[in-house]
Amino acid sequence: MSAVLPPSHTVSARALTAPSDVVPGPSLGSLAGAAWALALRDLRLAGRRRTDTLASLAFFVMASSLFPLALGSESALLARLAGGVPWVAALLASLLPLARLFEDDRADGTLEQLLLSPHPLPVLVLGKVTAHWLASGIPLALVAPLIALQYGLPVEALLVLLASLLLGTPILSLLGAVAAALATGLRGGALLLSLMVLPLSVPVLVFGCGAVDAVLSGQSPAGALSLLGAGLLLALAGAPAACAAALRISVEA
Amino acid sequence: MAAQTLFRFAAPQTFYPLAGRLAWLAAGSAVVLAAIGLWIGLVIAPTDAQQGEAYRIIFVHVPAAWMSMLIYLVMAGWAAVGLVFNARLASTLARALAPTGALMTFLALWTGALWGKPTWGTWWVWDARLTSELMLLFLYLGFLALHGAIEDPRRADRAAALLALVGVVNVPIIYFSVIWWNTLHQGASVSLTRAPSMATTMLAGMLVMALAFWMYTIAVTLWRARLLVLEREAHAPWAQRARKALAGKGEGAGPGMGSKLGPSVGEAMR
Amino acid sequence: MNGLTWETLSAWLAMGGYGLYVWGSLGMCAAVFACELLSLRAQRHALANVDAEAAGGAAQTPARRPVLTQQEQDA
Repeated sequence: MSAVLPPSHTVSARALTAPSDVVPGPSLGSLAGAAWALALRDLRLAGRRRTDTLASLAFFVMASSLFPLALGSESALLARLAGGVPWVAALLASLLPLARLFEDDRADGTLEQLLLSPHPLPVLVLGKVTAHWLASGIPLALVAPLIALQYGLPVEALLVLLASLLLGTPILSLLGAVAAALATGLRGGALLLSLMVLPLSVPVLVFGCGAVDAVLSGQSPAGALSLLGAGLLLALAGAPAACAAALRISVEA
Repeated sequence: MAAQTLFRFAAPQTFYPLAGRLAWLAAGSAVVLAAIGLWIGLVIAPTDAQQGEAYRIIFVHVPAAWMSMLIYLVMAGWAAVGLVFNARLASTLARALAPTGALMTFLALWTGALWGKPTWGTWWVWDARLTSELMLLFLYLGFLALHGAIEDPRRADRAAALLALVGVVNVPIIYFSVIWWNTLHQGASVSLTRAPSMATTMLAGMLVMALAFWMYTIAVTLWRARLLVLEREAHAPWAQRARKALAGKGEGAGPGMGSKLGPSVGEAMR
Repeated sequence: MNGLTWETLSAWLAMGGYGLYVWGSLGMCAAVFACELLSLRAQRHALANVDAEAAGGAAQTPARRPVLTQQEQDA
């Protein structure tokens, strides 16, 4: 009944076919190893379902293009929007893959196996969230400077934008994981998820854009970026445990 | 022992009649306090030098805002108790508080907008407090939406409780970030939070109205909690008797309390 | 204290020109509280009528039936 690791069963990376083949080999009995194995599996699955990541990126680019169409393409206006629009679009685009974070695992029973695992659930959750961020957060962060260039953001601010997104998107993934765990299996989960995540992500948005604004007005972005860093540490400390608690609430009927 | 006496009320069956009596006490206090507060605020209090009569909106705006924040804290507190001690009644109280909290937040926003228009010229002012109130409204709506989306009452209670706790941790962070954002963009907006120093009458009126809103909240929450308890304990014999009592009294006609609620609510809530 | 600030009722209603805003605020508060109380009343009616509907439908079958059949009672 418990998820004892079958000692005789070794898994090679390429041999992993079905999602339920989550069996770390005997050498990966350690806690970090289990989390890492979970992350690798999720990354492999994300790599096979590339449409999800690409859809999120496509939404990001398309949503960013809507603002000039709505507000006019006057360059002065766009330059003022250049820090905020990529951030808002990235925030919205990151909501899309969140809804699926636990759904597939729930559907095929992997989630229950994870809950039964001897490893602490928060660490396993951290593995999943890391994979989610690598698959969806980092691409958004990397594409955002290109969008910002469209808006005429000066070059010195591009690096700060990238840094703010690299710090902010993992926070969004962590907060979103808690919400996804609470809403897993529910009808209308994606909308519910957005309603839950958006208020919580306001500080991330404010400090992320604040960093870019600081650079644009000639000040140092260090304050805002360090606040983002502190937020990331706080999220890393609290969110996996909250997410694990949420999973237990959602799965244990 | 005192603890045993108090914990007795953690049982829905003993809570139900107590809540009924307390609710009426609170409702009566609310009416009296509101009458006094409105008399002070609308009639006695002097005209403000800078804002004219428009400032009188604070007599409802500030109490609504205070209640919106207080209710969220109390809601999160009960939710935590329900989550940690697996106490159903605590979770029920949290669920009973949420709609009133959301409505108070809406009132704070509405009255804030109506205050902003004559004083600052715009229907909405992106000042730190109003923007945080808006975020608080979303937190309430998220709580209610999550609770409503889950069929199983136990999972609903516990999931919404976790969301409330995550929210309560985030509220100070959100507030701080919005203040920071507001100071960053100072030129765009003027703050409603820097109210002129108040005459004693104004302060008195505001405090009385705040108490009135608080008593109203207690009354409505206890009434709602009673209904929720009856729904959840539907299988229990005492609850069936209470429901029949509701039905019996509800059919009765008569002048009743003379309040706008009508007689049936008055008697049935007893 | 300067006593009552208002000379006439119409002055009070006008609120120095800000009548729309002040009464609009108070009116919305009153409306919200009324809606809340009415909705509680509606919930209470719904809860009370659940029994009435169930009782009407189950009028032919008593709530509690004898557990033993005639044969078992004879045994």
